[in-house]
Amino acid sequence: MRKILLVDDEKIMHDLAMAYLEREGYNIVSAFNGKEGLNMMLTERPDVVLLDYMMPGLNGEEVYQELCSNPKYKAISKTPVILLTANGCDDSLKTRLLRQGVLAYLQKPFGLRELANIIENIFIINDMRRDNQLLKRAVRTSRDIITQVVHNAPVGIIATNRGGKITQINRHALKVLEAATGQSASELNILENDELRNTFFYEGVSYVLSLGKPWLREVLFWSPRFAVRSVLNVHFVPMRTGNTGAVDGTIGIIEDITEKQKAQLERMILSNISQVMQEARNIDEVLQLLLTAATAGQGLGFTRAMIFLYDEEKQILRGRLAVGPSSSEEARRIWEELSHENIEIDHFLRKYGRFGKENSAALNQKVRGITIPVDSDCQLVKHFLERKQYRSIAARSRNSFRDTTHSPAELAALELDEFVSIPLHSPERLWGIIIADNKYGHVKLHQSRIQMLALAAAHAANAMVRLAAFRKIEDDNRKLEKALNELKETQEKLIHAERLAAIGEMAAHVAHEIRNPLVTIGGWARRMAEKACQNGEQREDDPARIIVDEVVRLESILANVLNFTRTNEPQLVQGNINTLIHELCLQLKPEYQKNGINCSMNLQDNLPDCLFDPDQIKQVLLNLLKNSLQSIGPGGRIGIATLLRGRDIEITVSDNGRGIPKSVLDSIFNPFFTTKEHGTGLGLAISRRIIHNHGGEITVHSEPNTGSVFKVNLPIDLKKADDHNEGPASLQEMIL
Amino acid sequence: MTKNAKILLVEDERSLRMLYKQILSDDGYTVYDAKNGAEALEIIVRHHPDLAILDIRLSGEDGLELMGKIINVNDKIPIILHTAYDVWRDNFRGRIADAYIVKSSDMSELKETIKNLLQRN
Repeated sequence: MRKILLVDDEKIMHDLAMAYLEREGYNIVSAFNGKEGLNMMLTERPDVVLLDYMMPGLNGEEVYQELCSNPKYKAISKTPVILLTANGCDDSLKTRLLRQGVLAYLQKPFGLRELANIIENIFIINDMRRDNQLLKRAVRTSRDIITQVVHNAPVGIIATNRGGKITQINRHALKVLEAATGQSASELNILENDELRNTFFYEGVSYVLSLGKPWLREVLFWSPRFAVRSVLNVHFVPMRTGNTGAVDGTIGIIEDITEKQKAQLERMILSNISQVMQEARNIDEVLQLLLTAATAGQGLGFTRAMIFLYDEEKQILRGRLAVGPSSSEEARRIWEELSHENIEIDHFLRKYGRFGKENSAALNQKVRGITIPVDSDCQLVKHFLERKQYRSIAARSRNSFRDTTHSPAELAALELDEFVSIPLHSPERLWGIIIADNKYGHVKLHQSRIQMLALAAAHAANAMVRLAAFRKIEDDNRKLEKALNELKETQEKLIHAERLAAIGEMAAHVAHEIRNPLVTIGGWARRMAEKACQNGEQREDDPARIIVDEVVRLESILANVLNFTRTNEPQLVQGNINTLIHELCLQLKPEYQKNGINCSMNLQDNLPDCLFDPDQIKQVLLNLLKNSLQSIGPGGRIGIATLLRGRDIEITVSDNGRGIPKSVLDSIFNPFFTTKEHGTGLGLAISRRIIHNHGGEITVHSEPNTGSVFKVNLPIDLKKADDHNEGPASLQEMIL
Repeated sequence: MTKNAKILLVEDERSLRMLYKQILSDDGYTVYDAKNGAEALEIIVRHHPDLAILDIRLSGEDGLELMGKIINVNDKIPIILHTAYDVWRDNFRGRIADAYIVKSSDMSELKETIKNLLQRN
């Protein structure tokens, strides 16, 4: 129930008011003078005060002034007050009272109906005023919240009216706007500012205002003022305030996604680097790729990068590869060249990572000449051995890059200032170290790039592990293949040896069986011939003499056969093949002259000595020379030459004789194969045996009617003769 | 000493035995021939030959074994191993012999060797 305080000195007023107003539903309290009224205001807290003007003591005006001005009544000073004035009071008083804040006045005499109306009005006004204040406060609060939100949002927010004029802008958006306009004013019209004409501000706002649809773009924003390039995600939406749906303005949200993009780009770069490294075929290629990735502008962007590989045995780090300029002039030139090449990092790596474009560069030469002992006491080496990154900060080492507490003295030539060194390692091995810096770049090393380099180095180490494993598999494969081939060869040799052994055994047996009767026949014939001679009956056609000659021939064939079956291990002595050939030619000279043969020697000067069995080699060469002699007619040519070929001495015996038919060329080294009328077919077989026992090889090249070339290769460093042992060592036992 | 010297010839093949006996007799030697080891040892003991020519491949014991036995009886007697085989030339037992000659219809090497060995003794 609303409470009304009536302050009046007339009792009748109280009775009347109480009688009427209580019926109207109000609660009436009474005071009979100003002072009492003020006190009751404090105690009763009425909703409205009816205050008589004319009272003894304080009049109504004074009471009201006391109420408004005395701090004692501060809590109730806003209580609505209706002044009751006497008839005939002047208008100036009324005006003054109203000005002081009195809500209304009633001039006596007034009807009670009138009083009730005024009181009701007062209450309505008062309620409205209160509601209004609450609303105002609510509006202020929400506006404060919005302002807070707008200003503290992590994104740029800008609002315009329908004309394009900025109505709200937060500091992030303002920064971008100022960068775009070059001005610092926020009170501008986006559609009317010339500086903004070609920017996303104009494009977005005009799009939204004219079409009423949202506008969303990712824009690359270059701020010349801050020399910063950033990637922005910009979103303009229409603002509709009324119920009509008409566009009243725009709201723009500007999000800087540069870092996000950068991170994404870095991930992409790393994945590209990793992928290309997986394709590498050898460790040098991996290292070259790592360096190229480290220094490529599209990659990690260091100016110089160098790799030192760890030689665990010698306990050193040895410079292996480096990429980068060796002077600021060179740096400028390279960057200029590369700035024209706007290609993706993986293409770039494939293009430059493989061929080592900069390999001959001065820096590379310099680095290759550097070895660092790992017992060095400097931080770089210590960190390396602990498999840790080491970063030397410019401020610490600017004037002390020769300070050996940071980097070893061996690196002084590289003039390292601020640099980072990252170990290349896998769990089972410490491969080396990559050192990178921004020399000539004048840009500080960025932590994110260092992390990326570390990741790239890890990828490289992985690739190296993979390659090492791969190489091991390849090696094992090669070994297996070699073993298989050797096995095959041995098998073939065994088959050959077995065949030879069988032949040899049979031949030896037959030879021995024949020898005894031959000796008997020949011996007796010889005796008969000698007797005839002694008796002076010497005749050219003495049958006994013919028998003797034929037996001698048969015996020499037998000797050859037996010789083949028991070719001895060579008795090696140090000697010179040229000397042997000289002797041989001297020995054959009369025979050549007799037949009109032209024999030419072409012996290499300073032919090194080697180990060989002079008798056996002589036998081989004699055999070859005699074969040649038999294959050429009078006036034919025979050549003998020596040549040092690698670690082999090559002896060539050539002739311009009738050559060897292709059909039999493969068989000429087989025992008992012969094209001659009186040959045993053992000469070349024995020769090959001898050469094989020397660890050498004998080959033939022949053209029918043109001539033949036999080549004998003797190793200077004699291999173990066992390699070519064909088995008949046991033949002697077999013959027994 | 060379002429009329006594030579032991051990050869199991009859035709060869006859041949050598004839040839060596032609040269003035007294040849005692044996076709096996037992006969040979008997001759050694009975006739004290100045030189022995031994075939290696004999029926029964071989010439190398026989050589050992002869040396046991008389280690001064020069011994020539005379064989169709070349393979024992370097055999350590073959090297005990004073000479090793491969049989040939040309007997000049044999004759020369006999002469030298007899002269040496």
